[in-house]
Amino acid sequence: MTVVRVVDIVPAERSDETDLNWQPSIAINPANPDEIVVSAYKEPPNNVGYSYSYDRGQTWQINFSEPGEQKDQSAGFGGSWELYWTVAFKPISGIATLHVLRTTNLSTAGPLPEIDTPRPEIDQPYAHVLTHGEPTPPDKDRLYVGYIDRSHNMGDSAIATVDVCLDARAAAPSFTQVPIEFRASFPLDGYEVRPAAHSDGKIYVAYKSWLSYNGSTVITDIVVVRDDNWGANGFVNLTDSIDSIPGLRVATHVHIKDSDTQLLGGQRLDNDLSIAVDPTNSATVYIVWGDNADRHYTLRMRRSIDCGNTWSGDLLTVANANLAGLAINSDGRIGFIYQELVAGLWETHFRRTIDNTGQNWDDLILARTATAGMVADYSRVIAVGKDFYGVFPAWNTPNPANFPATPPTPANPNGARFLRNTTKITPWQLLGSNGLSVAASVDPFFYMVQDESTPDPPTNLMGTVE
Amino acid sequence: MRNTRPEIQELVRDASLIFSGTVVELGASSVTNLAPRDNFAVVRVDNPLRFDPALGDLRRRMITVELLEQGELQPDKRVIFFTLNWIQGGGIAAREVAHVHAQQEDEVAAEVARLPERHLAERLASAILVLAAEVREIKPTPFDIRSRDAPQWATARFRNVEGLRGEPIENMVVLFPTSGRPMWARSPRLNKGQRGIFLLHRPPDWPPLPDVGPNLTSAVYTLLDPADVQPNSQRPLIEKLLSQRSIR
Repeated sequence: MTVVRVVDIVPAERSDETDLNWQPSIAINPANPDEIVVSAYKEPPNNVGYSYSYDRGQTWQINFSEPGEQKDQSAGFGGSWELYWTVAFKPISGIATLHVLRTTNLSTAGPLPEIDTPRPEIDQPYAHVLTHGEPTPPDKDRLYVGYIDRSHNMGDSAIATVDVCLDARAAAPSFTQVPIEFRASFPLDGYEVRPAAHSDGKIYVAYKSWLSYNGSTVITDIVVVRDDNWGANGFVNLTDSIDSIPGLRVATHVHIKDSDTQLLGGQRLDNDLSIAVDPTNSATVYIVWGDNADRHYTLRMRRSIDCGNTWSGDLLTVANANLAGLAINSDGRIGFIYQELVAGLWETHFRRTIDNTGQNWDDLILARTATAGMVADYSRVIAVGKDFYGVFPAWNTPNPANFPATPPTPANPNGARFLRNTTKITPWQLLGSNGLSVAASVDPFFYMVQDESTPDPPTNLMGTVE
Repeated sequence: MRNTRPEIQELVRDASLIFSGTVVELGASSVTNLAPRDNFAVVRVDNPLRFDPALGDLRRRMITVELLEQGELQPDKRVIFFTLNWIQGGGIAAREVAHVHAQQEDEVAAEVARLPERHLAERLASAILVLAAEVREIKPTPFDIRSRDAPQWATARFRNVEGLRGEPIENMVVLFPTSGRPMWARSPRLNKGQRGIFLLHRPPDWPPLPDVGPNLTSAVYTLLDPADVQPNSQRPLIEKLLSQRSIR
């Protein structure tokens, strides 16, 4: 039996909140999955903080440890229990400056220690951590932070870049900034720079090498680079057979409609690139992206079983969908999160492979919510052991009909678990601290999909699926 | 305790959570997963003065305050706390920046109420030109493909211009963002025929400017802050602030 949990993570203390809480990301402590961190954009000012849970996502708190204003952020956990928090702070002038902070105490008062050199003029930091078992303890946290670097050409271009740190828990960690674009992109590389690490030292990074952009359509290559020595080789170990340049082009001349006037259910397109490597076999890699090759914007999943050298055709496609995220669990099972526009509503699907073909999947609908206004840019899923954990943004009307995978119970009449104040019968409404109705808005929703075989499921389960 | 007026102005500006409160217990915590420490005080909120609206009505709620100094406060002591947001969820915790006598509550409340005016004064102080005018024309600039976060500037031209500070330049170009991205959501938008008072600033280093043709870059100005466009009803206040020798 699969156990499903869906939780609106806004705490009761912030029941009057009507912010746009979008662009969520998630980190799980691999040594203790009870510890979870979710980052999300909030309305400024004083919006630098992360949400954390000590009970596997049942209850949540927010730690506003840093002053200032953030524009984007993500976090990763090491097996050392260190949280690595990458924050794009708003500077006095410029776009954003990347700061990498760390802590082992999620409720600590800031400011947190900074372990990387600040990187100015960046966008969309994405943290990925893998803890490497050393022959002699302690193990080492490998930290990879993907972003696009605008500090070139007066900000008129942006280069896909990865900050590599081979021992992030060291007293004074050493970071190497590695540009991974080996061709000439124009006018910039795409916003998603997504690392995926394997315990044998192979590091894959997926990014989009834009070829052109006319204000409405991006034409781009979908590129994967690989480094076979933890990132120390400069990501040159996978070359394209056609031009012999590092970075294999999985797909070329992909067309994507990208502008704020070409939205899908209020959501901007072109932020759906995700990659995952099989922890049981570093040669097996899955990738997903979205494009407009067909009539509708469509997510495409493909696979390589030879370390990225060759790729399958489409194993799975989903039209009118975005917010794609991929992870692979300890059994080699794929988890796939996305939102699909169906009959004017956003359906948040979580699907897992049911065999090793990559073509047969189960399907859970975690949420079915409104499309009004801007909702999201991206979401994320992570596997720990056999289980999947993730976060997605959605409108937060607490109607149990909106959460099909977690049917209402007497103890939890809203279906999904809401920490903020809500009505428990119709009319389904959010309630403020004064008991009056609060307008709906976009919140981050944590979800957990626990494998059938995982022992000792957590308490207060939200729902089960046979 | 601090109590001079400039210091209170500074504290009001910098503190994200300000309230008058009564110390209930020292060395304790009212927040889940936050163990008690010697420098903690659990404080009952008597009157919230500045706070995140998402927190709603804070009156009578308990806040765990990480004190700057142990030993200064005792149970039942009522003071005004200037704090920074810390933990929200399972209770509320905040980090003390300073506290002052409860008798200064009216003064602190007045300073909080003056925050919008102080912000306006700061924008006036940094403005190159302050004009009372009517928007004559709006034109989009070519779509900027360099970033999703580009402001997608539009140009505005004015008529019936009266300089409240500085002399208007004949061929000046005024830029304002039109992007719907959250980064620009609070920036002012102009409409043809709109009348008001416009606080024109030199362009910042970022975002990059569009090609504005033969105009001198020294004649290019921007409107970025919500306070940069004011209704004419604010004119008496603006003239008062401009007439002050020093705008704090």
